[in-house]
Amino acid sequence: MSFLNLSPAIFWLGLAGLAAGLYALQRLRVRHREVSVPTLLFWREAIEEAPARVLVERFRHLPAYLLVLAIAGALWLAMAGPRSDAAPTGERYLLLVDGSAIMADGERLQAAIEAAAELAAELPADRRTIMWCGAEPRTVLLPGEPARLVRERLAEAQAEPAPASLERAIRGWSQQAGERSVIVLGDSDWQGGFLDSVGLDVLRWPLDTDERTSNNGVRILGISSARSGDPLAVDALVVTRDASASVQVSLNDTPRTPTSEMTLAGGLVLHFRDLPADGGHLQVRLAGSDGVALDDQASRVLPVRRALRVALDPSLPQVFTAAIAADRGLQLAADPAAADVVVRANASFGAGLPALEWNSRDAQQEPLLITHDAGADSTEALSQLVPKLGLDRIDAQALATATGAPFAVGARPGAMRSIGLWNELLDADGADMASSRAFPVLVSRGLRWLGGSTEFPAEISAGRPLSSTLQLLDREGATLQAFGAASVPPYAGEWAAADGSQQAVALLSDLTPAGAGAEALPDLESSGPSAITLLILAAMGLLALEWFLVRTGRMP
Amino acid sequence: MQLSFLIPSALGLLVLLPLLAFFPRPGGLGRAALLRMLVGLLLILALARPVSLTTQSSVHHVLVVDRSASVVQADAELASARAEEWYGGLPADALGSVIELGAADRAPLLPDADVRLKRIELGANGSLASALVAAAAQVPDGGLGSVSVLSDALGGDLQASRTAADLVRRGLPVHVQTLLGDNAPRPVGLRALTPVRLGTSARLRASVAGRGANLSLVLLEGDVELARVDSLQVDGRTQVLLSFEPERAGFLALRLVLEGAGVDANRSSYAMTLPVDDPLRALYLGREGTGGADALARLVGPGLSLESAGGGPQSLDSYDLVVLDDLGADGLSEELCASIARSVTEDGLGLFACGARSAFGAGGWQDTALADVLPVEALQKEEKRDPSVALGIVIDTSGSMGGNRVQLAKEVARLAMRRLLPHDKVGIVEFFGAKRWAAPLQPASNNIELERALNRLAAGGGTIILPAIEEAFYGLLNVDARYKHILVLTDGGVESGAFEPMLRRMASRGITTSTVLIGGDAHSEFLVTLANWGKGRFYSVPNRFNLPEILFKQPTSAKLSAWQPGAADVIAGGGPAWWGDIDPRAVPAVEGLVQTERKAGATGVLETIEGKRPVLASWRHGLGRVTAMPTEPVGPGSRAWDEWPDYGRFLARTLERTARDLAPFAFDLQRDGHAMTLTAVRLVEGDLLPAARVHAEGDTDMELSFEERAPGRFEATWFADPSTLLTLDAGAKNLQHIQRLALDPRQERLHDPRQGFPLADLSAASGGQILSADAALQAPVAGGSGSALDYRELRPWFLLLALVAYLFDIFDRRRNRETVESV
Repeated sequence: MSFLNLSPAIFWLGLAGLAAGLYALQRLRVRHREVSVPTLLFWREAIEEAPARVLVERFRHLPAYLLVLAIAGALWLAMAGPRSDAAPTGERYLLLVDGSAIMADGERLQAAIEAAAELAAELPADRRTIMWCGAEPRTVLLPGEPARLVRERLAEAQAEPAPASLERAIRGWSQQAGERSVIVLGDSDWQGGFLDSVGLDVLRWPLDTDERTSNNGVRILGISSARSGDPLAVDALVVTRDASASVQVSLNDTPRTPTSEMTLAGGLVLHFRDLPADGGHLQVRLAGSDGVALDDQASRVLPVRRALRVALDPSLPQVFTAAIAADRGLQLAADPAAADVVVRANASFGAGLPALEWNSRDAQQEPLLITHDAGADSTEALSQLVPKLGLDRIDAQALATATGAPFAVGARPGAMRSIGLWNELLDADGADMASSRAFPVLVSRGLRWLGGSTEFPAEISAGRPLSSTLQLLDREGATLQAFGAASVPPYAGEWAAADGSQQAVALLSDLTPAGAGAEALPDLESSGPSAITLLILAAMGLLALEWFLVRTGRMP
Repeated sequence: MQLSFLIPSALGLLVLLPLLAFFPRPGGLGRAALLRMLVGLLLILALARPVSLTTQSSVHHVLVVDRSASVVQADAELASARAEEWYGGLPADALGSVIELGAADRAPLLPDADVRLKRIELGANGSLASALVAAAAQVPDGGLGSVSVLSDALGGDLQASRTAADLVRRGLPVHVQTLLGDNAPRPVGLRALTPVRLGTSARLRASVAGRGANLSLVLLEGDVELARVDSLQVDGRTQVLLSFEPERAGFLALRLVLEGAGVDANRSSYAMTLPVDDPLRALYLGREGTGGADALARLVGPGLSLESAGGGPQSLDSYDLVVLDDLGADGLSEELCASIARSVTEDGLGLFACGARSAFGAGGWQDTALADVLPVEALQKEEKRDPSVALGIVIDTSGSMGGNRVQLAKEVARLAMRRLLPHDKVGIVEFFGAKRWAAPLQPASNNIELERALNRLAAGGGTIILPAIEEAFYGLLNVDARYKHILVLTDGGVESGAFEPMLRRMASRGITTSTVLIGGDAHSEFLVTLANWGKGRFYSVPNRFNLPEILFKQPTSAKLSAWQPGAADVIAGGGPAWWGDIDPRAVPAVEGLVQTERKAGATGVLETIEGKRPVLASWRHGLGRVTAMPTEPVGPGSRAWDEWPDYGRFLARTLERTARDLAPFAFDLQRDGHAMTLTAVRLVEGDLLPAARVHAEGDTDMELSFEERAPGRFEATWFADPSTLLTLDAGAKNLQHIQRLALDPRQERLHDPRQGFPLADLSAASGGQILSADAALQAPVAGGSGSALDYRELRPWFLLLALVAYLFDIFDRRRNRETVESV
């Protein structure tokens, strides 16, 4: 046993001191002198001049002493706060308060908080934990903390524009040892098979509030590269939970008509083809209102895909002009200063820009040398870039025959991306690479890679990993950390991105409420009075007894 | 600060306090009663559990100690020492939590008897991710605290990353000491560089960590050694390429075993499940009954599953490749030709066209939809030929032909014979009431004999044509000539008889009949009719000045055989992608070749040195690849290649490279603890839907349900035990194209250090400290917003006051009693 408020040594010293003190008090006797006074007028002075100060040596009234000692000891022990050193035994309880968007339906969130507070007061305090499951699972009440704090700590809580983190909380809890129970207070459902995977019994506690209202919502808003092949366009997919509501889709506040519309699994599926990838704001709204307004609209800032500006070294043959003109994603720039990438035969042309450059054999050892981003592994980079740049389509044998050297492809890290080729590969009387079918592919893909055209995420949705390298900034302007995995925007709303753009993170959750809570509630353990409370009550009882004995003259 | 009572109902006892003045008998509110009421008041307040609510939070320090199997003993001891330091430095008013990861077989950590210290042990499936989750949960939202981590940083996942990001957002510093492990060499990774299909080489990259020399790395399937690297030096981390040829499709249970001095037996074997896809499915279209498909299948080995489709395939979607083997255009329907061409262009189907006498130009491919997709021009040379002719001249020498008419008939006969070539044959039958061979069938070069026979003819007798025509017919019947013709020269006397069946029968046997009206009227209905029945022509010769150009044969053009037998040396091209480790200089001469020309833009993989004729040419056409081999893969043309040891491999490689290389979907399988996500991105045009089936150890198969999350991007999520092997067959609905995927359970002891969770980044981002190996982990710095509403218990103070008041009461009671008694 140990003590919350005192060290064991101080407790025992204190208790010994109490015993000794009370012992001393028990032996306290006043030696009284008889003083004769002529008149009662001197009574007071006589008392003051002849106080009783002499201790009686003989100890008397042992039961009285023990009673007093018991009272004082109980108070001292209660004050010290006795606590068992053994870890709490028995079932531990995790109460999860659903703080996700689905709880924005009427008074259900307040009902969940209230139920959590009541359960916290009921359950053994040292074996129950309460967590808030909004965008992230956060602990609201630790074991041992008073249940009253639940209401205090969640007084300002509101449903968050995010999917529930119930599954994450349960999964984390499932990996701890011991007997555990999970009680969910809220409406978010989990995926089928989840509970089997964690091996926990989870009880959904019924909330003391009205039935849930119906809710429709935007469930999917995803974009992909245009199926038409237009590099400057994207396609979009919109899916609602319920096909009954009318959907208004606008791009930069201009209504858009879907390319196709169908009903699938009860929801409305809309396809939009060839939307301009110019950073427009695609907004989806459901007409009317329902129980949960948070998912009645979703928006997405479309990626910006402008034509890559390419400056051509004038000394290069015209075949490059044709290759660039044939690609809608490339645009010729008159001046390197206005270009994103350059194609050059002279190192000074567009220096400092990513370049597809044609060098002499002396300048580079390999006929084709790729300079990739620093920090990447060259072997890995090469294996990825060979198909990506269409290098596997080059007739290497023919080039090797023409140049008299093996057509090797090299890769190295560097500060600036570049693709270097021997300029003799362009020799019309020799290798004549420009006339090969692979040439426009290499030029087109190579320039795009040099330009660093980044992929855009298919979805930007609260609680879902981003499928691209888009970096969002949190409210403090710091980059949303990923730590080796895909970063996850935790909640919906407007987010700034590291590239300076504003991104809309949508709430694309299937806010389908789970079934009703348990009809037959199990008998939960009751916490009962604490040891300190019992000690105080015991002390009060003993004090009453002592008071009775003293007042009836049975105790000195 | 706000005063509050956690058990306010206890305050109801306050109403009992005044009773002290009357219990057990009325005594009034004397000093003793007041003191006793004060004690009671304080105790009732203490019972109501008074607290002060404040944002001055208590501080929660959390220590995560990684004691999992990947942590070597020395590091475990170091972690114990660091944990003791952390415990020693724990501030007196702070709360601590220790989270032990994988401590089942380790000695206990830190003393048991400390109420400030909460212990959490993570079970067997615990990971660094779950430890971070548990650590984050020990600090209430808005509270103050810190997290200290002693770990080798192995075993992070998305869950760990999200939790780490949340710790940063909460401002909780994470102090890190990375346990570096030992330098025992050990295999830590094995992965396939490219998807592996039966019939292709599996190329694997093995990673070995630690330090050691003269090591051997062995790749095993069961007890069978698949690949081996000896004399391996490792210093830190080394990657080794291993290659082998899988002998069966499916999931291969591979083991990477490291052997040599200094290798820990418990960490010497790394397990990996290699998915090997089924062989290419090829549709074989060739002449039936030749055994070409079987021979080709034997040659290229197990990497190609050749299927012959009798009556034409139902669909080309199920095939990766179509092999056209020496099949003429007449062996393919126009629809199938167009379908193949379209599938090549639009769906990426591979086409391998080969053959000899019946293929390419000779097979009439130049007139089909396939002509455009082939990488070679199918040459078809033609030569002009005068066909051989056997001519039977039937001359009417009856009396009516007297005078100039018989002479005129002779002139016409001479004219006809002059058109014959020496090797043609000609015979003369005269009829004059009877029939007679004036000149039997003989070569036209015998013009002297023939002239004499003509000269001998003289008019006289009756006109009976039919027997003479019959005579000529039977004479021509057994003559070997391309064209057989009977020319009837008469003045057109009308005659009855069974002409029609006779002439039609002759025509059906390839013997045509023309008629010439000699002299007289310009028209004879009878002779015209005969010519029609005999599928010949009718001519009218009124006089010697109007001799006709009798056409009984026409010069024709014939297709020359494009097949050129004879050995031709070849030279290789195309580059390593075609040849791999096969020596292109060792290709023997080809012994027969269909004449073709390589189209511009096509790659000449093999060409004859002389004439640069393509032997194997290939190009990409639309989404697909087409390879042409204008000789027989198995047959006389490539007979010399039977002795070429790499021929089978080369052909298999060629077919593999030609086949559809565009899987319908790109699949990406991710595991985050129990949660599994399979993402499918559609790579082809159309509305194909993905399909996948999961096989988990000890569980029933499960069909995954995909949801389209963006155009062409699908996602399926489910849950699976992370400690079990997971295998999947993935593909497209209604297509037999299957990709195999596998995910091995985590191997705790053999994690690649470079794949570890970036604890240092987390520490830096959260404002924590990164401790060196010899640094002490003391007095961790706490952080956090401190905005959480906290409480401070006031009950001990009330209890102390109650105790003091009680003691004073006793003291006072004693003192007052004696004093009172003295009075």
